[in-house]
Amino acid sequence: MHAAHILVVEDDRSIGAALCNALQREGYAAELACTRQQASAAADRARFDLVVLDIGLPDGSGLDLLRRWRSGDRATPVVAVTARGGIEDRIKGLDAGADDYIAKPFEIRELMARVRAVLRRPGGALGELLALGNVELDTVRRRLRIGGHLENAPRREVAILETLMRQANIVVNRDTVMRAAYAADEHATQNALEANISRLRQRLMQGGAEVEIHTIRGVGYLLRESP
Amino acid sequence: MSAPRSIAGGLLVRLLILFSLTPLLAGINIIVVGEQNSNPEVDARLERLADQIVPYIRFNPAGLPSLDVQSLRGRSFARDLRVAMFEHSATPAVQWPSDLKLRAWDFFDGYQTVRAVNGHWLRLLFAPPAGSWSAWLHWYADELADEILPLLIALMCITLPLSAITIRRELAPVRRLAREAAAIEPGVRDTRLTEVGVPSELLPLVRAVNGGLERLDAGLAAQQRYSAVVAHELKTPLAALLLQLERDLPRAEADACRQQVLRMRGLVEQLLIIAELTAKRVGTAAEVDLTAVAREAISQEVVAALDAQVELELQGPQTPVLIRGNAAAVAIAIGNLIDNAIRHSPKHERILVRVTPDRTVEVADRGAGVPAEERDIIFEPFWRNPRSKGAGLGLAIVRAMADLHGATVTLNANAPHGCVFLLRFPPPDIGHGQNVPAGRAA
Repeated sequence: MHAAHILVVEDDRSIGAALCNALQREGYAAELACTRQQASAAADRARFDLVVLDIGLPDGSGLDLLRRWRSGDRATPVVAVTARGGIEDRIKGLDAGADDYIAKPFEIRELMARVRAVLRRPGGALGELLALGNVELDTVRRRLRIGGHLENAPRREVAILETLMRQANIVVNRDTVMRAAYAADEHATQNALEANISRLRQRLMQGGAEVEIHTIRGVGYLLRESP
Repeated sequence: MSAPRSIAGGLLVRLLILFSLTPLLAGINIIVVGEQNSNPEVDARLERLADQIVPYIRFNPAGLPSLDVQSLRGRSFARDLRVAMFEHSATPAVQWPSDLKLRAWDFFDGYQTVRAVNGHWLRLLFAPPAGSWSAWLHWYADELADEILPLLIALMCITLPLSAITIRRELAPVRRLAREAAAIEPGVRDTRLTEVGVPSELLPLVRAVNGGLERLDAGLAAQQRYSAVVAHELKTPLAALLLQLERDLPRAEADACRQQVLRMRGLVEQLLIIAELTAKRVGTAAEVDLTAVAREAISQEVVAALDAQVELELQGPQTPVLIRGNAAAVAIAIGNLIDNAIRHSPKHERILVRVTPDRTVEVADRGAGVPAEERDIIFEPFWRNPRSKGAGLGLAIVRAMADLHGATVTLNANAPHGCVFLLRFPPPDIGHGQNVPAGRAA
């Protein structure tokens, strides 16, 4: 598997360099563009798995760049970065077609979590083999491994785990989990879903998994590494 | 905008109406009083007197009248009688006594009647007795009592209420302006006194006050822009600092610095939000489902809750609970209430977020609670519980959001301990943009 290729578009050189360093330490191949023009050229030259895009660029708004990419056929996932971070700026960034949004100042680990979540989407660079703690899920062959041991889990539990692993550390809406676990024509109840999750939780615990499924009543579920 | 009405103009029009009515009223009064003056008994007596005197009138061959003075002197009815007879001219043709001098009031107070004598029409005027001033005084008192006083009283009865009503009506804009001025709150921008319907005499004053308010607003806006710019300019160096900390410093030392930088970041973010909310730079016209917003706010706080080993739960109706507002701002406010609850909740306790169909969001914790005397002050910017680590802006943001939405935020005690914050939103169609003082209803 090749390292995910990430383009960092950031006009502040020291921040841009720090971001590239941090991404490289995480095992990604990172490239820096400091202007809109450089970003445009880099995106035309190579194919990236993800772009970390600063919205405030000296030679034009990153949002325009994003809109132009999206109006073409470039589906490269984009994590938008902005120093504005006003109440309504988040919505503006997502409306322009960004896959996620992070406001400056942020910590590397916050950005990494978002980068990973975007790459973990179906079709993303990390979208085939999902890993969290000692749990690995091969989403193509539908195989679950805990600490290297193959687990024989039912289809529905694998589907639930896949949804939660793709959005690790993020609350996944109850309805989203429900849609992942049951086909549209299947009659599913809240209780049935709870039972499935409880069995999956049991399986993870017995297998010695270093992850936990948390239930947030009335909201949804969240998977994260055990503390 | 129509031309402003003037107090003087309003008074003038009404008084003009009043004075046009006066002659009419006076005419009616004279007719009525005249009717009352005709005393039938006295009239009958004077008519008899006229019949008695007529036989003493003689006419010479030239047709000029005279009185048979010799015969009259002996008659008792002729004593004290004062009578003048007119034929064609305004000067008496004949009079009794012959030295009779008529005074002005004799014409008012006297009695007149007409007789035909030998084919001549005579007008007879019986003047009141010649008792010095008494007749005049009588006449004057009579006039005053019978004609002037009723007119005055009638005029007063009309003028006083009319003036009172006029003044009340004309000064109504002043009362309205006073109410508007009383409602002006510190920090609330774009409040102006209404210029429509203000009388022209007051318009310069109202315009001057509005000009002053405008200048205050400009000052406030400059101050808010300033804090927004400062907060914004702090962000980029903070971003660089956070990234470099992770790269350059050993882990243990970096961690202490990181905590401080993160705290500063929180402060800068909150300052920006509060500047944006109080400057009303966020749109509040969208239809917002409170349950969905509460779910989003909880999702943002889940990791913090898990780290603090506190449980979060949402309870809400299946159907949407709609308000009009800004989803992002409401989510931030609910998030701040949850964040506040997490920081004050004991471990392994539950924080319950409840949305009810009457557009209320409750955030209930089981912490130590807030003493009654602190329940208002906790919403003030930079007020900090000495036992807590926050910057003291979280709840001020909640109140700024509530003010912007015409919502109220109150704080009650939770049973058996802890507190319940209540955010109550107005119905989606009315009450929008009102300045409801928040956090004071508890």
